[in-house]
Amino acid sequence: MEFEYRYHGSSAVDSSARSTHMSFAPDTKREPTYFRGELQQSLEFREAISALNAVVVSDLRYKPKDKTAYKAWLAQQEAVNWQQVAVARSRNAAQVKDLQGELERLVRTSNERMRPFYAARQSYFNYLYKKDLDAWFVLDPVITVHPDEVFFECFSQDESTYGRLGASYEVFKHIGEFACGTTNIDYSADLYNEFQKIRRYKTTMFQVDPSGFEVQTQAEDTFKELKIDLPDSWVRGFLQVSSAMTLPTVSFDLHPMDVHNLCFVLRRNKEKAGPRSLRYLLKPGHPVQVVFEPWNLKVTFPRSPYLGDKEHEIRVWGRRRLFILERLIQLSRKFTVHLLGTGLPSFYIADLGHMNFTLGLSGWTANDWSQAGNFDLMAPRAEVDEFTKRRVFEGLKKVWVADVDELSRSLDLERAAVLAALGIYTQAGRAIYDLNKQVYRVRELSREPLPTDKLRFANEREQLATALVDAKAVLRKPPEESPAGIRLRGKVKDGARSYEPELTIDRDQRLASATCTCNFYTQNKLYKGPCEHILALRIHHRRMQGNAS
Amino acid sequence: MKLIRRVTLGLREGNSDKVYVVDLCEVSKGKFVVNFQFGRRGAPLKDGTKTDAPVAEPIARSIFAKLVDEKTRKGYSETAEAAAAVPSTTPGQRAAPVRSNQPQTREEAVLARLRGDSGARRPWDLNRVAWRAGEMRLKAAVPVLLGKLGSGVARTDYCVAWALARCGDEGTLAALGSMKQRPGLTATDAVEQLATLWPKSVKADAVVRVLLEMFRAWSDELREAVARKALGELPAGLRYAAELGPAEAFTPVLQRSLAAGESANVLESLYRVDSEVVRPGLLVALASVPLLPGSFRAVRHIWKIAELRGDAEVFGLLAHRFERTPANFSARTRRTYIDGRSTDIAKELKKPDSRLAYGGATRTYLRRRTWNSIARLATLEDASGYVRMAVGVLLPFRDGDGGEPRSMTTYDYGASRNKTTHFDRFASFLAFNHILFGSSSRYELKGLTLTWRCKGRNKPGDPAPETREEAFPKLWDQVPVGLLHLLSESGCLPVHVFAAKALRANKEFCDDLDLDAIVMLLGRPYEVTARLGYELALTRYDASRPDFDLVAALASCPVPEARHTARAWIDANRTAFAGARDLLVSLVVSPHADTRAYARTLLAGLVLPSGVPESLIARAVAVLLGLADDPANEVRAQEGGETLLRGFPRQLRSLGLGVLRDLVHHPLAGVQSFAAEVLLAHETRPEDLPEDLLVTLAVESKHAAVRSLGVRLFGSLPDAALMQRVSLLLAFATSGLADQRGAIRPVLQRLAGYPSFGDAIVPPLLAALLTKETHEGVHSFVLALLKTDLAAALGAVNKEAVLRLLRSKHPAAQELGGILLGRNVDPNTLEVAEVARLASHEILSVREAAWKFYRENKPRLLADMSAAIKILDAKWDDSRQVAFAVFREFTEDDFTPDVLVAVVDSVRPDVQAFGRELVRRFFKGEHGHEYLLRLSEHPSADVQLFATNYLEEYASGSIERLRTLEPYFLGVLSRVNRGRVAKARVFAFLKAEAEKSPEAAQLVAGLMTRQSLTMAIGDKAASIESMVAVARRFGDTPLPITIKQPPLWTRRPKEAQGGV
Repeated sequence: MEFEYRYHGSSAVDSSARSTHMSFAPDTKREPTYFRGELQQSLEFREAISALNAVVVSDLRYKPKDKTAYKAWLAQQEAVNWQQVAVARSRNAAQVKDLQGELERLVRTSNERMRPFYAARQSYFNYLYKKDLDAWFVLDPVITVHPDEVFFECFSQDESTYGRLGASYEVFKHIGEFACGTTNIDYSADLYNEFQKIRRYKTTMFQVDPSGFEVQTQAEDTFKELKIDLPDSWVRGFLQVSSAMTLPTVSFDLHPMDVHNLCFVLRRNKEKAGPRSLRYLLKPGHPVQVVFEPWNLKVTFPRSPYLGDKEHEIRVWGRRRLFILERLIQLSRKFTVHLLGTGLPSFYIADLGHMNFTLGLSGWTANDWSQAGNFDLMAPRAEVDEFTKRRVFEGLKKVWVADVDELSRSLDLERAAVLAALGIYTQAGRAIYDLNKQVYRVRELSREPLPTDKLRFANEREQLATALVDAKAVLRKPPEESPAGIRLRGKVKDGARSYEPELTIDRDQRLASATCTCNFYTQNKLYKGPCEHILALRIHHRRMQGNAS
Repeated sequence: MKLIRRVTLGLREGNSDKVYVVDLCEVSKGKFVVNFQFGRRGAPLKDGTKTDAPVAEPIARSIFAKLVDEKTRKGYSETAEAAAAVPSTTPGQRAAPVRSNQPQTREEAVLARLRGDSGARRPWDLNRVAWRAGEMRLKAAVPVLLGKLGSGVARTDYCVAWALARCGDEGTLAALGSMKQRPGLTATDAVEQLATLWPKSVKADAVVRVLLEMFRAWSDELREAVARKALGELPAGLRYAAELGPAEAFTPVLQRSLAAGESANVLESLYRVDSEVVRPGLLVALASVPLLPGSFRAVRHIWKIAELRGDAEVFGLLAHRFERTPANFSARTRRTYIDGRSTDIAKELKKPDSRLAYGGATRTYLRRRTWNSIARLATLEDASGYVRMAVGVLLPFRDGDGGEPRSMTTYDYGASRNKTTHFDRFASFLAFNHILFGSSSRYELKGLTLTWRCKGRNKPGDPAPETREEAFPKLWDQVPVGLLHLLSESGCLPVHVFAAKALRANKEFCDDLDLDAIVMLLGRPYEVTARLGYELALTRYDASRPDFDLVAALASCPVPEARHTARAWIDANRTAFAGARDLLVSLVVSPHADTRAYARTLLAGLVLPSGVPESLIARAVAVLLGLADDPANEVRAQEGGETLLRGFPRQLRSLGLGVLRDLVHHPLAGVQSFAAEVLLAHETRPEDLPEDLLVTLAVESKHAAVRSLGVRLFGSLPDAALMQRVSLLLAFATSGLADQRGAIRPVLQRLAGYPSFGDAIVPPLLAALLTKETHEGVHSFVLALLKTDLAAALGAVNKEAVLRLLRSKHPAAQELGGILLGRNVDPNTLEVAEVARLASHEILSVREAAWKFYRENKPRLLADMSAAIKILDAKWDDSRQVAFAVFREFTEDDFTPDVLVAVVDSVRPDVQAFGRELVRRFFKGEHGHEYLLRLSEHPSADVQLFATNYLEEYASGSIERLRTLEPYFLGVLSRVNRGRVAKARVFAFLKAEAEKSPEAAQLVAGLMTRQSLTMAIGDKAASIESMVAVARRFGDTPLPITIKQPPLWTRRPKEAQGGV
């Protein structure tokens, strides 16, 4: 999916010994959104915006080590070894040895001589990396100005982490004119560095600079035009996480030092085998406990009791993403955790006084096919007609922020209908649910509405699989537990034929292995991902489990 | 019985020597017979007759002529010898006509059968007889055939009408009228009343088609009547165009209407009209109409009619299409797929609206019939008919039609070896090979195969034998004009090889050829043909009265010896050729390089009579303008133009501007550059030349060389005129085409001498550097231009412009900015902040300028230190190193705490370290608290650690200071698994502070309460220790711990047990 932006100049932070002036360049192609104010809680803002930066650059996907140089050396070495073997056998071993010694000396001298060149080349590569650092980041953050707060949102490069920094107007003084709306802002690594210079003893001006909307006269390129081709999976990830916020959650508060301890355990230990999950043990009235797998290290949070009325045991993965919260520990009063369920997204909200930082984590760090068919967060949850949908959205647009009850009262609509309509808009990226204040907000993610239908499924096989399950074409045999995980077998009737998929889900809830009798599987095995029958069996299994629990 | 006429024919062939005598006799008044005698010369002759019963005089004469013609075609000729051999018949002794049941000739046999007199021959189908009569154009058969028409059997009627179409003539309509008792039957009536003339027959469309064709063949009047009827069948638009004409207007109308979905049936009607107006359009349509269901039927009908009419052009055109177009479905299967559904071919083909047409079987039939139909003419010894049709079949073939030679290897189990069959390039064309190689020793067609193969050990590319290879060589010898037709129009090498060989063999005809024909032969692009022309030319050339056209053709023909001969002839008598304008022009633009080179030397050494150069130039320009846009003509035009430029520089100076405009608009680069060269030296002053000529050459031409010439021409305008056209100059300088930029550069260099020009062109060039490069290379060109050629004019670029250049994203702009910074900008006018920014610039010279400023302007730096220290954030190590060196030389008084803290605030570790170094060096006790407060807010662990140094001294003992530092303490203590030293110092400091006042104890207790939750055992212990100390000192402070006394038996006393 291609996004186009056009910024007037770049975002800049001008910091002197006495003051800091932050000016964000908004996307001039969107409707004018601007804001101007002086920051009061500057330290909190600094730390929070740094955490947001950590989200933007976060990429925990597995990157294989580049071993080409080593392989080349190994091949060379092998030749040398063979040569040595040959030499040892030959009569001229001594002579060859001399020659080899000489060769070695020559090589060493050559390396010696080339060293400055290699060093210069490396520093040039480093320079190039730094010069084009911004090219490494995916999407600029989105800024939204609302009547009660200003918030930034961003999504990580590895398609798994969502960050939202909300600052209510108490954070600012001398608030100037503002226009509500959403826009993208120009963002760069230099900007992050400048944020680090924010201090309490300096006055900090914060503005989303509207000058980009003025007419350009000079014949000079001052507009910065960007075209970003985002993978569909990225956009789907973003929408999945934000639509997950509207679902009912299991929530509890954590003391800042609890988060410190979470990070502490992870910093001190390095897992080399799975499962790599955090297991939250929640017992009503008891302190929250967390089990770190695979060491089964149990940590109790004595000052954070669980106040819910039902016992839960919830596993979440991708725990190293919690390091993003590290900088917020010192300033936050508490962290509120919202868990949706095992393998589903989780949310951590840091309370920074008049600011709040929401960290949303998708079920897993890796967004690969081994999770395919696991959850369908983009499924429409309720039926609602087009007219009502529009009406609800128009109603929300008028006030920008609204409670569901408030909205249903003002529009004279059923609460359920309003909720359904807002759910649909959230899935389309046009509204968000603010977990912190428990309200819905208008937030148009992109200038043009996103094609939600296309984004719901990663590929057509997922779509077919859902259709198969809905058509009750799947027959599941009782699952078999084994040390490797759960083994599922079943029969899927697809058209005139029926297929017999088999799959194993490991202890990290990943699809570890699978087979099917269909043509797609016979031709591709799992190289192109699982076939629709395997996926259908998995979806069916998940639904049955959901019913059981 | 009176002998009216006798023709005695003889034939001597090998051992046989025969005579044939034809007599026309009047039996009684108005009743005639045609008799004949034949046999070996000198032996008694056998008698026969062509007329069973006496006939009217015209019919008898017709039969007589036909018989003589037939025998002549077989090779008999009228000779005195033959006449002598015939025993003289005296009137009294006349031989009675031999009435025999056995017909003696083909004509007789046909007529006999038509009359129902089958004789002793085996049964012969009437339809076939009628067809044969038609093929023979047997006029005598007309009355009989007329009687047979209207049987109601479609096939018979078709064949009879077909025959009548070929045999009938102007008198036939009258005969028809009398037969049908319709005296005075007019042409229009006959055509309109087909249904009443033969009511039973006209039920079949095929019969109606051939009946109309029959009428059409009889007379012009009938042809017009049929055409009128056919015109009436056309759609209104087409009819209007066909009636109105001319042909050029009709062709596009037809094409448009076919493209718009008009049925191909209109082509049939148009072929019935076949007027001068519609024929060209019809031919174009037939060459492209798809052979698909819906249109193929009409194509088939037209082809059959062409065969009937003997219309070689249409017949050959369609035959060629059948050869070239693959069938739509295979002949080998019974079923095929239509729209994805399997369909029975036979059933589908029977439907009137069949969705199948032109299958494999149909195609094969049509291809075979092409040859069969003309071969029958040959067997009937119809030389003109055969040659005409064969020429029609051969002409559509082009050299490109031939594929690659191929071979097929099969294993012969009988002989236990591989057998390879070779196929030549044109092997797949049936009739083509039949005509060209019918009696060849090189090629053969085996059995029922459809591809000609190499015979015996022959291979493709083997030299052709000396003997003639075509089928029916005698027929070609009889009508040699057909060969000449082939040579003049064919574009196919094998055809030329055949025709040249056959023509050469016909010496008599060759000797009679006129010079125009020889010139034509020489002008053909095939060497075989040109060589024949060369041989003929050698015999015809008369050195005393040279024929210029012949010499010109010879000089430009593809045979090198011929060209050489032509040159030798000219050299032998140069003065005679001085006035031969057309000859000289043809030499100048000859397609052959040697002739063109000769023309150049010839013109240099030749004194032309007055007036000739002018007319020669006019003629040469006309030839150049006539050259087609073909890469092969490029070098001709170029060298021809050069020759003219060298030969006639004076005359070309006054060449008309109108002619030059035409030359400039010619697509060939050679012609355009000729025009440009002429314009460069033209007598008209450059400023008086029309601007559109310049623009066409310099801007619009597709050829780089021409554009360069155009720009040169533009550059030759006087300077004053050029300075009026700055925008055009600018467009050239920033053009996407490198050659235009390169060509305008000398002009700009010349103009750079005028200061006003520099002022006008520099700002737009700078703007071009500041905006995104439109084409690759423009920026670097503009930069080079500004740096070298327009350097003098750069003095006027002011500081703002230089800074804008430096800020630009484009390297070329930055580089120019770097150059101008040193030259045009006084460092003293720059703000310190601006200089600091320049220290981060990518261009080294710019950074160096900034360093210089820093080293030399200490007072200005001191005046604005907060801006000056921004250099420390430079991206470049070298800039930072310079800055470190400069600031290290500053003294204590130069730095305020604000500035020092700002240095430490940097995010770069080296700058932080430098800042800490400065703080240590220039630290003043009175600012200690300020330093501590400010440094404590730094997010980096290093600086936090650094700040701990000042805790004891500047924060101790003051509850306010402790309160302001609270976030700092939290920050240090909250670090996860990091900052051990800082944490220890903070714990120790807080523990000590807690002792000092209850307020401090309260604050510390709060902090420790929070921190005591940590899992880090050391931190946890330290916080508990602090809390115990607080509890000991100020017992009433709320704490989350209870202190228990250790049990007495414990050996190592443990002070407290933390309970949380």
